[in-house]
Amino acid sequence: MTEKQSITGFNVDLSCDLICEKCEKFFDCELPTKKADFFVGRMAQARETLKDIKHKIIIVGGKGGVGKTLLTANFATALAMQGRRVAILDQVFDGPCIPRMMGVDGKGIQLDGEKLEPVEALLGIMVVSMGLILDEDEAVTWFGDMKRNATEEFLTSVNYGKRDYLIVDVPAGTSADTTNVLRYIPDLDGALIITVPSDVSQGVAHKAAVLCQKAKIDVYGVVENLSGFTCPECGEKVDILQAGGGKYLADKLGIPFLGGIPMDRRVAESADEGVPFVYKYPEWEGSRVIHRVAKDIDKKLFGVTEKNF
Amino acid sequence: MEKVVEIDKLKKGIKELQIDMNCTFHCEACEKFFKCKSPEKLKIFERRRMARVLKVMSGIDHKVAICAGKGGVGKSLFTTNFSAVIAQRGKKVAVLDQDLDGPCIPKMLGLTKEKMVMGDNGIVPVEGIFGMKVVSLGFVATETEIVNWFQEKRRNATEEFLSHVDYGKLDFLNIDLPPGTSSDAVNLMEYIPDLDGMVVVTNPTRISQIVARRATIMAIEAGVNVLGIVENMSGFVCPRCGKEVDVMEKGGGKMLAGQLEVPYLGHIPLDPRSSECSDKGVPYVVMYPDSPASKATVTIVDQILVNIEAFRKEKAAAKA
Repeated sequence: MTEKQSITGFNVDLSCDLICEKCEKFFDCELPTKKADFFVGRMAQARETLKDIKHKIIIVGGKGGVGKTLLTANFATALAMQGRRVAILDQVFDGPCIPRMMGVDGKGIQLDGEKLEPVEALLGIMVVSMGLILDEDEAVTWFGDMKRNATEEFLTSVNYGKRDYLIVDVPAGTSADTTNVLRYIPDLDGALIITVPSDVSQGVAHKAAVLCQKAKIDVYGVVENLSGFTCPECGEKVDILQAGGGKYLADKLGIPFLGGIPMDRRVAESADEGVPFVYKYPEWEGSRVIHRVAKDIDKKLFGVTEKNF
Repeated sequence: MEKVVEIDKLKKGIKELQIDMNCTFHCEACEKFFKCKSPEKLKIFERRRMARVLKVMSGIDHKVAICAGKGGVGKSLFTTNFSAVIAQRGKKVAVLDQDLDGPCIPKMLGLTKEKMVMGDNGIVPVEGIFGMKVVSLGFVATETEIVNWFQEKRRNATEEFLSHVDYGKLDFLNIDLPPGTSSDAVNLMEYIPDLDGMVVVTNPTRISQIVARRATIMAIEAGVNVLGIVENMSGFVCPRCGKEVDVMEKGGGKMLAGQLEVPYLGHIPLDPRSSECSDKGVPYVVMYPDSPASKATVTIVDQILVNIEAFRKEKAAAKA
């Protein structure tokens, strides 16, 4: 009986047709023929459309359900509360939640000549999302190139206008969805990693962070969501999802741990209601963490003294 | 008026599948295979692997898919514990972890150090508690490796896991689908035409239903039997004062079940012990069988089994 061989990998097809523009393996590609310069076609158009946006930040988390969209909505709102002009680009095609969280679900994206007009939410925040195009009951099977086309559409045909910030929400995982965004959006300033305390989530969050580093994006730090729960009846602090995952991940990646957002009824309530909790409950512990992160990043990128809100 | 027409055209353009564009006739690896109506497809593709899948699946009595739509609601944890409950009762169970981006089932069963091996009849699954067989990408790619599973490889991986695994004879194959309504989930439904049904896991918030709704509709449209909706993370019992509080306002799952006219299977409360168990690698139904979460899970599992039998009877009656 021959010794059994362990399966340690699958043969990944590296067949290359030199169409770098469409290639999902872009960041992993080490072929000498790789075209790193994209000044033709849609990519150049994207560059043109986004030229009046000063800073672009992407929110990643790897694991599903950790709060990427929630952080995107609240981080964007925190920046807007400091007087910045913000736009949110929702790159989640499967069940986009940004419209709901920003209180604009049900509104539609208008067409102005050739350009799509984003929808305005609170504090002048501009929102672009597939959720503003598809109906509630429209279940679409998203195939790879449809997603890529939609990404292209959102990047080349939207009239963002002059913005200080574009905050980008991407789907969970480290698939082509995320790499497409990293590839198509020129000069992403930085990324924020969001995770939860449990061990189980750290693997994917780590992958997401490493992907950003591979794409040469400044990873600002780790925010831990669902970070403990305080019983409203007796005040007991309970770690429903274990403890320490966020700090552990930050240490492992060598980046700052930016703080924890506790589990709280206010979070789910604000998401369902469509009013970000940093706006509705600015004094709450979780809101303070996000306001502080927004202040620090704003100071870093704009280098001016803080504005009071 | 003009603007409305334009938006519809835009919607159509984004949604419609333009099959001729980008078609390189690699049907074997094409993720749009099931939707493709191109006449070329049938000429080129020999259904070798498909036939193999059917053969492998025929040795398995019950096949259940578990989906969520929204990520992070506890689908994998539910799949693991659902499987543990029936395996503990002596059934031959296999768990297929189809989450190609964040496979966490190996971790939840304490099997991260194991590897699948190549046997005479195909890939040999890893064996976990109660003889449960586990197939997962988590055994192949290490945590820190970036595994960018490109579209064509995803379908291949799905087929690999369905056709080249030596499952043997099983009572249950529980398939943990990836979140969302992407081609991964849909392709799987097409591969296994005699699925006993799909369980949808969601959490209490209204916003989670946005996604669960689409996933359920997608299953209904694909002709898959929806076994019911499970509302996870529903309620929390404080370990100190014993009062039950709602971390998220309850009822979203029940509401969705009502709206889509599918069964509501029940709710599972939040419990710090559940997370502790999943990090430790032991199902919570095994480690804390008397906890409210475990009891709720067992009740839900029993209801699922009832619904499966009812569906089979219905199908048999329809044929007669």
